[in-house]
Amino acid sequence: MLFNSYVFLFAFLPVSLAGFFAIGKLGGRAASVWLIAASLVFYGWWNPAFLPLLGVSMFANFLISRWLLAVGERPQLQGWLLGGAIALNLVALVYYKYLAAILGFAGMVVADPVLPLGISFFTFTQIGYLLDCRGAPEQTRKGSGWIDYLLFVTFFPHLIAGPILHHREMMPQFSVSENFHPDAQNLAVGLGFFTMGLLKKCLLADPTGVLVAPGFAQADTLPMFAAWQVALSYSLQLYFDFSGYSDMAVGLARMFNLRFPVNFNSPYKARSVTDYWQRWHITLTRYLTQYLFTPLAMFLMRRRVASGLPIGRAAQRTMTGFAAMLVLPLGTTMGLAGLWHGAGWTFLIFGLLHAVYLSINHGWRVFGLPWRIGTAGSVGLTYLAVLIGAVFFRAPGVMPALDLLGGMIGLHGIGFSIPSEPKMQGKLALDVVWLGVLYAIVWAAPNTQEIMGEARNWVSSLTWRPSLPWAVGFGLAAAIGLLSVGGTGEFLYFQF
Amino acid sequence: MKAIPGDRYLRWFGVSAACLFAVAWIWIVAMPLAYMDTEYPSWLAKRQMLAGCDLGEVLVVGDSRAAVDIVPALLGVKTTNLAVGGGQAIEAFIAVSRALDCPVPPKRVVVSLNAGHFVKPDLFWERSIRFGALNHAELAEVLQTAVELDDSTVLSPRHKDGLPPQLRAWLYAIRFPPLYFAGVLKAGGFLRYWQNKDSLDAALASRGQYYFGTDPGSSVMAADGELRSFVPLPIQDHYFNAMLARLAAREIPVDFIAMPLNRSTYIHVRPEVEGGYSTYLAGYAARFGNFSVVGKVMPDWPDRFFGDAFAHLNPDGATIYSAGFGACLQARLDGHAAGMACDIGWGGAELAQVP
Repeated sequence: MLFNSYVFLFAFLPVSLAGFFAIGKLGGRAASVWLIAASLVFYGWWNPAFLPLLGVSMFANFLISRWLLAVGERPQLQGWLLGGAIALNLVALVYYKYLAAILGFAGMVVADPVLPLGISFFTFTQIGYLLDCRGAPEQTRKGSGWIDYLLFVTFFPHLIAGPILHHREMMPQFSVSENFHPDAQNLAVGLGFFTMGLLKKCLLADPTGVLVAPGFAQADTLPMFAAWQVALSYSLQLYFDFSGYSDMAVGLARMFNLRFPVNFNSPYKARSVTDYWQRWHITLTRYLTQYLFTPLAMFLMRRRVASGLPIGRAAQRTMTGFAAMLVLPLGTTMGLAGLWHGAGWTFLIFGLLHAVYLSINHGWRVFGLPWRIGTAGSVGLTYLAVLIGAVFFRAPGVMPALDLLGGMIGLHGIGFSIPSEPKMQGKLALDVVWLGVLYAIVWAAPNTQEIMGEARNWVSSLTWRPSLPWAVGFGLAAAIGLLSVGGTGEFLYFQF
Repeated sequence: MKAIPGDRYLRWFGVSAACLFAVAWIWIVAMPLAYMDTEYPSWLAKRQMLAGCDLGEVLVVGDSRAAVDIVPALLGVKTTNLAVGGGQAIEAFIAVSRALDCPVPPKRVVVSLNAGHFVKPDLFWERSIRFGALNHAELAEVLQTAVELDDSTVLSPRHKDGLPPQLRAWLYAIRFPPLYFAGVLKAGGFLRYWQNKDSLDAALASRGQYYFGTDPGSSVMAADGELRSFVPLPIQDHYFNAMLARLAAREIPVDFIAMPLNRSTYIHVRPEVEGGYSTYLAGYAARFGNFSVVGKVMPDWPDRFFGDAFAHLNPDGATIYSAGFGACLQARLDGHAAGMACDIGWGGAELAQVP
């Protein structure tokens, strides 16, 4: 079920919310069970066949987590158990997401199994929990009953596309009895977040993507301006799509009196690629840093120490030290982060490209390079680097990505039109204005957290307050959002 | 700004949202000409002609090529062109059924559906349902038939909203605003009204004929050139058969006449498609005595007579074609077999030679 679908907006959300607070009068446990059931309906709506997989995954991981806690005094056994559990999780992930691609590389053609919705998210969430059962057992013991665990994993606002939650920030909230009763302030804030996300998705992201698919499909013929138009449109579509989704997820959680971490914080305002990853899919970055980059970097440092090599700042300033202590863990982490998004060379290249960016970024700092290009230059350069990565992220293959990038530097001539979309040529000026409006929102407008008063807003008059004008304004905006869920694209007469 | 209590805030939020939603709904129900896309007026014109039973002697049903290519004013006999863009056997069946309920039914029915419209789904939801061409009972029957025939092509094409088709159909029937709001936005609320009103008047005046592309030629290959085989969809075959059976029961003669293809398409048409299409129609001609296939099933004309990428004739092409078709129709009404008069070709004719 999608957040912007009729079923969700007009049936599932009102029923699940009303049911949660009605049952909440009976007690928190009953309300939690209701929410788990609702989340399973949400998950199984599109394809109930994957409910058993989700169920088995949660059941097995919960049992293993109890086992891990129980054998805390026997670290070796705990280590084997943890390794086995992680391997089991990854086997399921690899089977559904990567096996066909891996066999494809080996020359064996097999049909892709249908990918269960959200498998990457619920797998990573649970692996993180298992790791913490060993690394921070006292935290995982708190509020660790099976109902809390199921709710932590299944809670529908994050189940399919994140944010990737940490049990430490969620489970304590499940034990606050006030959270099971309606809170008008939280409902108002949640509706505000959700409304803004819905508008971003329906009115900004979807219409911007109209040219993206035909553009990438004909990447080898696109002249320069058309190639730029396609690439910029995609980067903005992706931005508003993910931003909208993240706002909706945060808003939904708030309606249920739960707080999600910020997952999206104006990433195109980033002044470096490091900054970008602290603003884009923040919870994924946090996860990868905590569970992959840091342990790997620590492991490599320990090995250096064991080999009698230095690990201090001076060592980092040598090429070998820099490569061993930063480039290697960065490359590994970002390469896997790329593959986490999907099986394919384009995702791997996307990840490695960002590893290169991050290495240059860290190298600048570590080696103390003197050149500076100012804020606008930094933001522009960062955006350009991210844009190149986004081309690989979206392209159906490496060649189409290279073709599009080639088009952007004029290898297919200088021109405006996308061959299969001659009618779009007449709209060119309108499209340019539209992109300009979107960039103005991206770079000049406060973001959702700032508008909702969750972060400092430099435009104080645009900071939400529980006042009559804001209530009416958001009410009207919500109506426009609801009206727009049918799609903003009209069907083009394309067959006969 | 003065803060207000949370419950009051939520009330104002809800009231504002509900008011705007209701206003939009009223507008969408009351003023379809203000926001519907440019094809709607021609569908509305045809619905109005059907409702008024102002049909004349000959009724044309079929797809957009028939809607464009057959100009009633040039036929010499009072004809109503009820063919519609994306029309398939379902839409033809509905139009014929309603026409047969008129006090004076047509004396002859002309059916024209291209091969692709038997084998692929087209615009059932985007046109027929969205424009309200089928009433609720008709739609329920179509959906039920699709289920019985296990043909999902009209049940779920292009829809990822996960709604059961019956519910989606009902939402269209009540003009549920989100299904129409894209048009309202693109129309700036009302800016399409005048153009649509003119198109409605024009379609009524031309007795249903209207143009798509009007380019002075098209060498683009239409979808017919991409067909791999001719295997009719069960649901389309069912309604084609039902339409012919209903007309046979009323002893109304039916001519099937295929509209021309541009040569750039025809050269790509696979022999098995043309052969399959021809054999399929011949089977119906053998089964129903009132049904004749007139002329070639895939006549090809020079590219210069076509106005767009979908093999619709341009005004010059439609004029020449309709003149020829008028002679054929007159011969058929006079009781002649479908002979030379119905082998409608452009004949190398230049426009100046056309009366």
